Amino acid sequence: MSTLYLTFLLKDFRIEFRSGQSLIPQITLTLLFSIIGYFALSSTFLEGEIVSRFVPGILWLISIIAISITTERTLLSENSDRAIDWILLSGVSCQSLFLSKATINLLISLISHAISILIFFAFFQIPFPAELIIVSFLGISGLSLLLTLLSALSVQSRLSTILLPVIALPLLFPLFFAAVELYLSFILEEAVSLYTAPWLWMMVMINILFLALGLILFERAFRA
Amino acid sequence: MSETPCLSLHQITKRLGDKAVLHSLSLELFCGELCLLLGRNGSGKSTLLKTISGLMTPEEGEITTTITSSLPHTSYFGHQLMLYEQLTVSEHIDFYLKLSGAEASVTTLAHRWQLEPCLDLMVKDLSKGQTTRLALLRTFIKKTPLVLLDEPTSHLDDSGIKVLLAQIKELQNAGSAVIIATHDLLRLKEAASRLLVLERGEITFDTSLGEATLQERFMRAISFYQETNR
Repeated sequence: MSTLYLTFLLKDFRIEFRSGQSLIPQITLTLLFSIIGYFALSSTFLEGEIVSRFVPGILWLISIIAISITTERTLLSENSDRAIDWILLSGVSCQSLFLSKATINLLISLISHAISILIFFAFFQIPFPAELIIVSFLGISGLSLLLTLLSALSVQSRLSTILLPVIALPLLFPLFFAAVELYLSFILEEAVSLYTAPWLWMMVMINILFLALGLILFERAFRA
Repeated sequence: MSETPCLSLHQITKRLGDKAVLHSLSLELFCGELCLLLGRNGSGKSTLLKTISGLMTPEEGEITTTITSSLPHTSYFGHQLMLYEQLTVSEHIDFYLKLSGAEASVTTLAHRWQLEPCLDLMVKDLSKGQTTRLALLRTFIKKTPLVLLDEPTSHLDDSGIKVLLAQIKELQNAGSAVIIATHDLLRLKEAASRLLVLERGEITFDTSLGEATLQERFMRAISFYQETNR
């Protein structure tokens, strides 16, 4: 499986590197939303702790929207000339393909999320505790896993650009809520292990659940 | 040629939307056979091949096979060439070799299909004939017991057809069954062992060419061709 995964990953990297089909739109959207978000918050003249309370929610909302709109673009190359059909017929495991697509989506989403963080945390001069790196990674990996799975369904639909966020957003709510709660706790230095541990565990469990669902259902979603 | 069918289709019905494209179609295919599937546009040839390949599921009927291999037993070449625009020819071949586990080198396969001059070109920069050769190369990369080709000669020149026929012959000798949906009867008639004519989702002519001489084959082929295009 690891050889297959690396074969798919190399192919997907080449396609993404040459076309920028997912990276460019996602970074553009994130930059746009983040700058608008920054100016919207700035115009309220809120400062200090109050603005810090708003930032996590807006930051994660921007990431979720930007990522959910653009994630399926990594699957366009499989769908445009039905290259996926040969993979389905060849009898190779689609689990490796799922992991490869999720890895690409994770890397791209981490880059765009980092840009968002940079804009909000640097411009509002909010301290960035190291623990947030773990929270960001868990949040973005959960997003990437679920959106990669759902993209296999939505990419075949004519309403794909709208369909993916519509299906995904309700399912992403627990992840969004946990990430915002943890961000708030760490930014405001109210982090108590008794409070943060359940949220962190919840994020880990959501990631495991989305990974398992992706491995089981990705091929079926493409055959649907 | 084997006496037992390697593939049997029993009363297959396939609908696309409200329209039934295949009507209670039954067919037996034998190992080592090369069937030419003829029919007008929209007669259901492509749908039949997709249904046999497993890319489409029939609403009614049953497809059974005696092929026991746990490995994939079908190679399929369709109208959509299933290639990646942003990959080069050599990257495609390397990708397919790794996925299929076939033991061959990129250069050997490229040489066989006369694709050496464009090994470093991306698919989006190839001619239609070259992309067809690449897609056919992938179809034949591993010997499978069943090969389904949907209009493979559409964009091939004579040298491409020569390579295609040589590959088909090699597969037939190894016992594979081949179905080719085509309008290019004249260029494929020599290789065919059976002719099938599909009209409105039903097989209306089915004849084995058996031991017929080349002249007889040609005459029969021409008459069937005229029949389907009347």
